Amino acid sequence: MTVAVKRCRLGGIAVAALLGGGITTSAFAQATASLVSAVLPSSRSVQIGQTATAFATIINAGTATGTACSIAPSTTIPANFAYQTTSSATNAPTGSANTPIDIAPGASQSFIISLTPTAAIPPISVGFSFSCTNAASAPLTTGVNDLLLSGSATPVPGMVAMSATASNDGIVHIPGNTGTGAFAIASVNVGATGDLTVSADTGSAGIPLALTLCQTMPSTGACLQSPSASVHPTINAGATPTFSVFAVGSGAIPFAPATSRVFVRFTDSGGAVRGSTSVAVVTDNPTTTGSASILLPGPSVLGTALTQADVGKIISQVVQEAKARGKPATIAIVDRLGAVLAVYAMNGAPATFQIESNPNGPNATQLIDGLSGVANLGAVPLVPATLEAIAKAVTGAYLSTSHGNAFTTRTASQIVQDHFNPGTMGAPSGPLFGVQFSSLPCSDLNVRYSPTADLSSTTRGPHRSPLGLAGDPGGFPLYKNGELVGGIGVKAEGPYRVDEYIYDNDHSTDEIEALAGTIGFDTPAAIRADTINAGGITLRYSDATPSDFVTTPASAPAYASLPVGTGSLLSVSGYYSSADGLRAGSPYGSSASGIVQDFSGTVSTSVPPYLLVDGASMVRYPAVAGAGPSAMTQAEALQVLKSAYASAIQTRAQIRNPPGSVLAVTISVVDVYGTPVGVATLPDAPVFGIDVSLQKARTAVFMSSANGDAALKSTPANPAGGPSVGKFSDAAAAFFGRPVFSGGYAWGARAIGNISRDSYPDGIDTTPNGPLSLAKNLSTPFSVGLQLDLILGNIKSHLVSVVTGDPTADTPPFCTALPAPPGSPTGKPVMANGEQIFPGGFPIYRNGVLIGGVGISGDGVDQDDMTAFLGIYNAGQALGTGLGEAPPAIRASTLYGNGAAPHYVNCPFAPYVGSNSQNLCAGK
Amino acid sequence: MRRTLHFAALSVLALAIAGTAVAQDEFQKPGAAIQGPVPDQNPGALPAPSPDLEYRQVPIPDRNRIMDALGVPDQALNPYQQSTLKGDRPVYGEDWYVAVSSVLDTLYEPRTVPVPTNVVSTNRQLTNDQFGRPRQTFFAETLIPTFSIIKGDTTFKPPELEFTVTPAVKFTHLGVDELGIADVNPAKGRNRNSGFIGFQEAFIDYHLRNVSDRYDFDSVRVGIQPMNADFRGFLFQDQQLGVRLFGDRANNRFQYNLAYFRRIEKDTNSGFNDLSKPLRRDNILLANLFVQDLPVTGFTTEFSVVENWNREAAFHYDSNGFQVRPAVFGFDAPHKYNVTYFGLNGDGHFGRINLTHSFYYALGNDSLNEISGKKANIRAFFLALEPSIDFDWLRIRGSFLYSSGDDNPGSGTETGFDAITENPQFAGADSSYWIREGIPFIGGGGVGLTGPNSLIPALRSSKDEGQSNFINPGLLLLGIGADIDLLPELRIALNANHLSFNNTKILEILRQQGHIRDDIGWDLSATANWRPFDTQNMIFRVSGAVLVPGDGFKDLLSSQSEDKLYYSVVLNLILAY
Repeated sequence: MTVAVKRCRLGGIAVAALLGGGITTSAFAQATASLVSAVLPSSRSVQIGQTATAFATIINAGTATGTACSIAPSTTIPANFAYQTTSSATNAPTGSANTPIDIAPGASQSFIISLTPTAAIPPISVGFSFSCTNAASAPLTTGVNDLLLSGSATPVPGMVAMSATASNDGIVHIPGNTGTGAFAIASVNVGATGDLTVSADTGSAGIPLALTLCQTMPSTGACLQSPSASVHPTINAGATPTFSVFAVGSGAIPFAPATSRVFVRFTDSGGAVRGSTSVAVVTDNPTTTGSASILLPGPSVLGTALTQADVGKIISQVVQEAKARGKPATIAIVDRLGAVLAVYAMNGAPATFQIESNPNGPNATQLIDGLSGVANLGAVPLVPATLEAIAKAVTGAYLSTSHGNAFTTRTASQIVQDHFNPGTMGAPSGPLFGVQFSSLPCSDLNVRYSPTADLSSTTRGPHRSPLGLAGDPGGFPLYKNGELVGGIGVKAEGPYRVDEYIYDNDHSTDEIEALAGTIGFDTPAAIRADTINAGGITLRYSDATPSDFVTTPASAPAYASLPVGTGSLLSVSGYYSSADGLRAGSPYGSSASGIVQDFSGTVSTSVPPYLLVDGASMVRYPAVAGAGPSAMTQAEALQVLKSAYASAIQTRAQIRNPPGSVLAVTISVVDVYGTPVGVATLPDAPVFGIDVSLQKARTAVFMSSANGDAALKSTPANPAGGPSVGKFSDAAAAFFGRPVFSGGYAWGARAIGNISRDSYPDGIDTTPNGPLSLAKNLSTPFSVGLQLDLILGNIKSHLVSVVTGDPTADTPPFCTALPAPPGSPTGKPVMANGEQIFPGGFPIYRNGVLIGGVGISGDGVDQDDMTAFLGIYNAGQALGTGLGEAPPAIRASTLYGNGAAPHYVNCPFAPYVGSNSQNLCAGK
Repeated sequence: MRRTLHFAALSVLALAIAGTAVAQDEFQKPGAAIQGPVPDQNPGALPAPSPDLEYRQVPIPDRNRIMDALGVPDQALNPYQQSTLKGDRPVYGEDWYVAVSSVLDTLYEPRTVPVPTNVVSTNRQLTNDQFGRPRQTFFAETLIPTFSIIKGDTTFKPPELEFTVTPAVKFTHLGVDELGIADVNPAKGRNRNSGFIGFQEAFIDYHLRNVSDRYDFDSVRVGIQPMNADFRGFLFQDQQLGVRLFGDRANNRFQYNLAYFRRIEKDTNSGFNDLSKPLRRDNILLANLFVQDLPVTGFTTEFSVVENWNREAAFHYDSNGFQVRPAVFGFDAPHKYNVTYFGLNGDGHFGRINLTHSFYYALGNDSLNEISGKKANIRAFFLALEPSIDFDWLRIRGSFLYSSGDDNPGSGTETGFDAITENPQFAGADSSYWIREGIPFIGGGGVGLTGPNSLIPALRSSKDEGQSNFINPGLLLLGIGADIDLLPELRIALNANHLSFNNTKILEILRQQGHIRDDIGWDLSATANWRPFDTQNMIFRVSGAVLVPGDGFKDLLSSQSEDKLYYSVVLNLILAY
């Protein structure tokens, strides 16, 4: 067992390295136990019925004793699990099996864990919950504290491997950007003899590193052959081969032991992993050439999600604070993909709230007062608080990411108004003006809850929001161990609104109570909105701070102990059934979440993208050929996706920390009918951008198509309860002196946005509105003009359906009452998830013929704009098939109205990290 | 050649004076024999009056009117003759004078400056990137007449009372290649014409008393008046509304100022005082003492304390519609600050080495650090040195300047130095590109890297209308220059300055951009000042400057073309009466 002793020590060091890497502690953290953990070896491969064992160590890095600490698998697999404490000196088991133990602050406890497969298990990363009753589970890091387990029906090789680095701390140090580092591996085959391939990789992270390896003489460490990408030894049962791995850098690698790792894997002829080990890698004395080192979005730690207990704890924390304040609340909690995990209404909480109305409205019969107007219509006098809470929770989850940015509904409020910052003059509108009307209840992309289906069925993927995204303070993201796991929305007081003057403290009850719910699930301080700048302006996170609390959220009573009469879970038709009780969230990236990482290399090998999948794990929007005249081939659609993706993974993020990070966006490519012909998401991209990127692509296509004006004018009055929108076509024609949505002009989302603001040019208070906007005195973030009018009927149907509990009254699963374009194979309107009016979408042409569009969303608008624009241009260059940008002569920037032309594309300053090239779009 | 002739003439004159001194010395030597009368060397000259001549008194009006008696009339428009308009003779009573002067300044300035394209509009096809075309032309015509009424003897002792008013008229034209630069509204196009009349001086100066028979004095001056807090305009050089008590002691060895200013809002495009707007809620209290011959003869040292407290909590927009207070910067929220500057300045020479130095330490607090959103202290400093040495008609100058930067933006202490209103006469002054041109911090908010006529990259919205900003990257300037008096009427100045930021952290934060380098680049400039009549009445000035961008500048800014270097050319004619 001497080997095992060494394993445990290595495990401890790996954990220490993680701590050193700066697990971000929250500004709102309470004194508590805080856990980190390690598992060695990192993989086991056994036959069914045989037991795979590994050693685990938990370190309590907190300030309080961790009580009743235990280990349980967090991945569901057909295997029996047991754990038992061991002596760290001898590795001999101590105590009795499956018995929790207290761990003093600063102390560590070693365990032996065992998994005995009861059925065949393909190689799977088994995550564990290392938790104490007073401490959340240790953060999961692939290669550090997961176990790659496989169980097979027949005898298979089972490699137990361990790594040794020169510094003996589990870290390979690369001297300088282009230096070489090395580490050694000792292994033993505890299974059957087999032919294995041994290779090294960096997991899902894009790390500038070339890896080679060789098998070595155990006695001397000398290579048995020239190092190469992989070696293919036959390893006998009981054999103990050794290997050396060489890593040659090609760029600076920051110290990030959770993400910057080298994995060595032993795979069999069937591709199944039969053993693995990993080390962290870092560049010593990095030199930065160009303008920055590249910080790619890290992969999410698989397995992190809200548990039922977490959901209960969050509710209880809000309830305690709301009770003490005498402001009972309605609370919604969603996971990262917007699945509603609970809706809880405290007794006495108001059931409905008015949507803030324009003082110059409402004129409900004409629906000119937007959302509040629809709320005043007949069957739906006011909007249920449950829907407002859900929209706020979804917004907190959707606008945020694990490793780049954490935004709240207050952030949303700041960036959707007529000026940025709101309340000032002269400045253009908020960069995401219009995002409030995304993830709509009618979206054909966002999925719906069905009471007959659980989270693992066809309801996988991003969920819809009943009111689009919210700007009403009181919606926050929720984090566990630094991973985004969902959002919380609270509605207790006041109208559903936006904050129109951001320079004071609102003392918002909703926000204070919601913040109480986030305690223990705090946003990492380093990525909070108020540390991120757009256009030199700091984004807002929250007016509420823990000093506003009148209770101590962390010591809220257990959810189960809340006395009768406190409140109850509330069913919300189309979102949540109280019969489900508290629900656990799906880990982002798990197939149950509906978004998984794709290692096929189809779109990108360097940064594997995330793709939407359905309940059958089929990719929902693979790259396919488009339809229509001169349609994109499958290869062309894929090339546009790849070119946009390749540009994106170099592009400097505007809304991610630290400065100099690469952005995280979603790319959607559509054909001329608006049908998706390819969707890919960068790792850790915010979920809102999935729906919005599709909206942008479709908006560009619709407005540039020959059919646009005709479609707008053909909608009957009040289709599905919504207003006629032909007047906007007329207004645009009058504004520019000619019809502009009839195929003669190429419109991108930016140019459409320019004419969809309540002043034209945007931001100039003394000028009248653009033709697709309402007049200035009627315009509010809840009532913008064409964008909302296109979907008002859908929202009205949806509200009626929710309030009456009648699912059949709900909106059809696509937005707008516009006719489908002639020849559409789907029969759906082009903008089937609604129009979008902020930058990042362009039409694609072939020799002057419109054939589709690209939309990108998730980062700064100029970044979205550039990556979409360059995606088309670079694809055109690569293909040489005539596919390319709109001809300059027909771009909307050739039109003049009110003394100014719309802007077609605006590519940002210092666009690429690691490069100081500028003006990437010049002349294109 | 001409220079040599002047030199020869001066030498002859010096020798003649020396010779006379020698002769007199001998004449007065005790015991020396009295020499006979010097023979007449100048036949035809008027003979000396006889000592026996009867004394007769001829009344003449006064010294001012004596020229009349001599038949030389007053010429109001010729400043080189006796002129009533120049205070040469009283206009009322015995001691009321008027003095009128006027300057007509014509400026034409083609230049290139990085500018953004307008994000919501465009004026031509293929405007696809954030950086626009950099070419601009600027024209300004300025007339500055000054009218003074002075009571007192204007020649032999300080005046007792003075009323001065200086209205100033300016017309400017700006032509740029991008929209949204000349005016916040892109629909207003690429050109801006603007005219303004402001009051640059309007004060009463009252001579309180003389404190010695050498006319050491105390005076008080109330109203809009010029003020420079140091020798080179590093901290506060402006024409502002204030009350100033000043005077000297010990035969002018000590001079002092005690002043309070309340700042007047400036017109955006002329930079002149705009009395139609409410006064700014910004106050300056200043106390300084100049000591001559400290530490050595020929060197003057100034000790100063300047307090600036700013209470501007309301939003303010400039004449072109751009937000200037609070600056669009970080939290972009109204804030107030108090800052006290402790200054030690000097000007003079140590032997043959001329030296000007300026040191300021700024100590204060800011109600809101725009990066952290919390209160912060201000601790910053500034140091400038200019040693020079003269070789006859050639002066070689070295320039060193360090303005501290904020190395931890958002911490509890702001450590970037900023002035109140700088107009630095240093390292080439307004012929240097970096100092002359305002450079927008594109993508980093509504602020400039530097304002016009300023050195410090203070990230202010406007030098004239914005608040000071102590969260800035700071500046290190190392330069060398030469002033060459080629002819008495022609001076050439050459300057080469290397500029770098001290800490780019704040730039990285505001732009959400990693690793912005320090190197701003080289600023190379040449100026010719030609005074055809050897006077200040007509000055032609031609200057050209280029900024050769360094890596840090390239990380930040670019242009659609011509980004290898940026230039500014100044053609300037100044006519003075």
